[in-house]
Amino acid sequence: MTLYLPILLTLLLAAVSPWWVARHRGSFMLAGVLLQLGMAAHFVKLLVAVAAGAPTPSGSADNLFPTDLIQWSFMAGPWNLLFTIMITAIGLLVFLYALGYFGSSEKGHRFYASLLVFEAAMLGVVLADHAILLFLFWELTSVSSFFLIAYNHKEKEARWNALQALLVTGIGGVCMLAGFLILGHSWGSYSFDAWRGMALGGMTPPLVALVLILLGAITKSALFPFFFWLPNAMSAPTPVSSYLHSATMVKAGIFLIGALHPLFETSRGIMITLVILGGLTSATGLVLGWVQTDLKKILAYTTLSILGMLALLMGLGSPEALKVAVLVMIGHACYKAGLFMAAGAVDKATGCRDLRRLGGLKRALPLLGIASLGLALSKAGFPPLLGFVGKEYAYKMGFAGAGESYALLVFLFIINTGLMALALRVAWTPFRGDVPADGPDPSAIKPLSPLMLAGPVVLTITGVLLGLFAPLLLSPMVGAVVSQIHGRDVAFSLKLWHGFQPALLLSFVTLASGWWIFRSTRPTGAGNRVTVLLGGFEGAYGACHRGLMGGASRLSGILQNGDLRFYLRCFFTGVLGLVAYKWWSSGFAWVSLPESAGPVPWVEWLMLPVFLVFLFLIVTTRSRIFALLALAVIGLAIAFLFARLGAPDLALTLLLVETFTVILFIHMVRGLPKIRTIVPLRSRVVDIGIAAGMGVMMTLLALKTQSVQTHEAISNTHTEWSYALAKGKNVVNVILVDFRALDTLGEITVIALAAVGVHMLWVKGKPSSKSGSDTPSS
Amino acid sequence: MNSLLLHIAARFLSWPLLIVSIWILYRGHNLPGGGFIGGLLAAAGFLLYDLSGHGRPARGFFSLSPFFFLPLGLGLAVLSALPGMLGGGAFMQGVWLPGFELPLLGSVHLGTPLIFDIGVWFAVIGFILLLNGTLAGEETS
Repeated sequence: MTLYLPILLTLLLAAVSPWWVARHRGSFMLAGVLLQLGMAAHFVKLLVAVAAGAPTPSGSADNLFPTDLIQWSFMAGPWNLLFTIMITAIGLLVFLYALGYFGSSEKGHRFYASLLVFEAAMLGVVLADHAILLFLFWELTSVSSFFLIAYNHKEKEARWNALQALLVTGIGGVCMLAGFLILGHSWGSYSFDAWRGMALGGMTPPLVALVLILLGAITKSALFPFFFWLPNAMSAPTPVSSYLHSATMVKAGIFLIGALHPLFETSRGIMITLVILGGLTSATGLVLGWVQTDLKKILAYTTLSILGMLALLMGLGSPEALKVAVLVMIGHACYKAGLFMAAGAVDKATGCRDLRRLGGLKRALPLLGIASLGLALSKAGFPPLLGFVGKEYAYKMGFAGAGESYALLVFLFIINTGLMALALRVAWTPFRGDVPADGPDPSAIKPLSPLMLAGPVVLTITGVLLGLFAPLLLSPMVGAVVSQIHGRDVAFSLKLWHGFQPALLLSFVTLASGWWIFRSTRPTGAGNRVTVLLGGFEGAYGACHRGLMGGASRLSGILQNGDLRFYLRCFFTGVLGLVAYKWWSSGFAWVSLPESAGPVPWVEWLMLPVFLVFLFLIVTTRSRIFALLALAVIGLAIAFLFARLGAPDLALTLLLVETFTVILFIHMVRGLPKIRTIVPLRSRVVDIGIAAGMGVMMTLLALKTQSVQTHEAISNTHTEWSYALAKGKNVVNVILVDFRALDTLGEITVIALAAVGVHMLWVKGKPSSKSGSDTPSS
Repeated sequence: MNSLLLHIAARFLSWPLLIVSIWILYRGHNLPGGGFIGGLLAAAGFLLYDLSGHGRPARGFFSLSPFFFLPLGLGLAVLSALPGMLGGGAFMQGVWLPGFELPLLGSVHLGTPLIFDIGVWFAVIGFILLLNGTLAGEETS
């Protein structure tokens, strides 16, 4: 209960938020702050307890779902709790920031609902223990992310980008579901906890399941080659970018890899793939971010780079690498969200996000400048900030290994240096020096809401505190988290100062060269061959998207061409073919008259000429009304047969239906063109053949059903039950209103919808009429 | 269509048709009939009145719109499904009042299936009236 109550409360607040924020913004803010502060404190308390050795908290509601395929069960190990803290703490800051960002404008009223739904879904993802439950929350994050990216829904680009993010992560999500199902089916359990236990116990999961689950993770975390959706998602409002696309949602893939790490570890191929994809993503982010001039885009690409590094470290899989991954992730969550908020604040104050036109803001926005620089330095790994701790451990790991670990060291050095230069570029360029000639007018800078400054400032202070007191605050926690990912107990004590070692030296070299690169380069905004090459992946997505849409459109053009005769031909030949195949495969079983059939009385024989004559009239007449009446006569003749055969209800109904068919059809006949021969003789011959075939087939089937009886006829039971159970002597009616009443309910719903549909079509087809004027005409 | 005979006949036939329809609806549980046939019959009464040239499209009782009958019918049908659940049974399980005797009608059983059938009756009337109104409206305009 303590695990899933926060999710439910957040959903509740999301449901009432549009009204609440519109009526009373102050109290809504208070409620949001209290809720998220409470959740963050709650999860911190749980994590401290778990790290100190308390049992893993879990919560479930049994029998909520009547199947094992989905269960309402949650479990929170240290890895899960770490994420919940990031989600709720950064959620709180983003919530405040959004209140400042949207101000009291009406545009923001819808925003909090999506944001809070996302927060609840994200909590669900990291807390769910049941794989399918996790999948549901996973998809909910994709859906809420779609609405948040497309928040400025009047812009075409925002809609396209939102759809792209939804499709890429959605397809990955479906792959992941398939992986879960395969794994759950073969191991007989859907619990993550059980899966970890089984993998550690020596069981090997099916490789295909792992690959599919990994696909879900890499699409969600925007790893190579699916990286393109993340920078595009920057068309979302800044609070969204800082929350979903740096701190939380894109880390869901990393979370999943961490949560199922013992499973992935069973396959060397998967781990190597992770390392390669992570490295490629990291390099891609750096290369593409280098040429960007848009603040948010640069931040998105550096996020990619970090995500790649996390995947790489997860793929290395040693306890040391996992320690580094956890430290890097905590650091990243702190500074990246803050940098996004700072970039958004600059954008809000000046109306400009282009680095080439920004500069000299330190006089106008001093506090923001300091916070921004502090965040960039933390990212750069300036001692004693939090980023320093992570980088120090990364280098130490590189030096400790042999052979190939030096390659890793070089790679980490390049990425770290590049990222530092980029971080300074984003965080400090807008503030340093003088205002460029074409920059925004300094006197026109809008004052910022203190709510927007809270995030960057708080996160800077957090970075300093966590860095300074890392040994005290983080040691037991990181140790517990790494133990959970690794599946075996890992002792860990964090140190800020390791003495003079190669790692420390390399840290300083990184800082110095990063600073030098930052000072000596300017972003150009121009692409080069590499960026064009990497842009090809997005092009491939676009080609697939267009191909799918175009193909679907062409296919519907062929299949739905509007020619009723074509539809009927397809349908009838299809049915004929299938039945003929069945008949052929059963060895042309003979169809004979049922044995119970007696001689046909002469009254019924009388109907035969009636059928023949009127059928002939229908197909030869040139008058629609005449054909209609002739058809009605046949209907009456059939009703007569029903009555003779002891089905008075059916006969009555048919009689009435025939009447109404005539009346309703008469209304329309005037609007229809005269019957003309527009079909060539050859195609009429084909039609006659198909019609005759259908007639013969239906007759044979009707005869056949009389002689095939695999079960005892249900009609006998119905007759028995009718009066005893349903107090009715008319079995037909009892079936309609009692035994199969649900069917009848469905049928009357269908006829109601059909009538409304006819009404709407008819009314809409007349643009001149008054009733049709409610549809907007442009 | 302006036939004096039909005009007069419709006036005398419409209401009897409605009464017959209700009778058919009621007796349907034991004898041929029921909500569907009854609804069609009632609609036939309204349509007859309409076709005989009384000037305006058939609207049913008190000139109510078909958009009133359709939800009414569906709503009654759904409502009739609930008492069974409230009594701890399944959705749509029939619930019956104790039978009693009435002069003229004999032994009477009232229960949720009857309410359901009345729902069907209304839905069918709404269906026919809406279709007829829509299509006939097109013809006259």
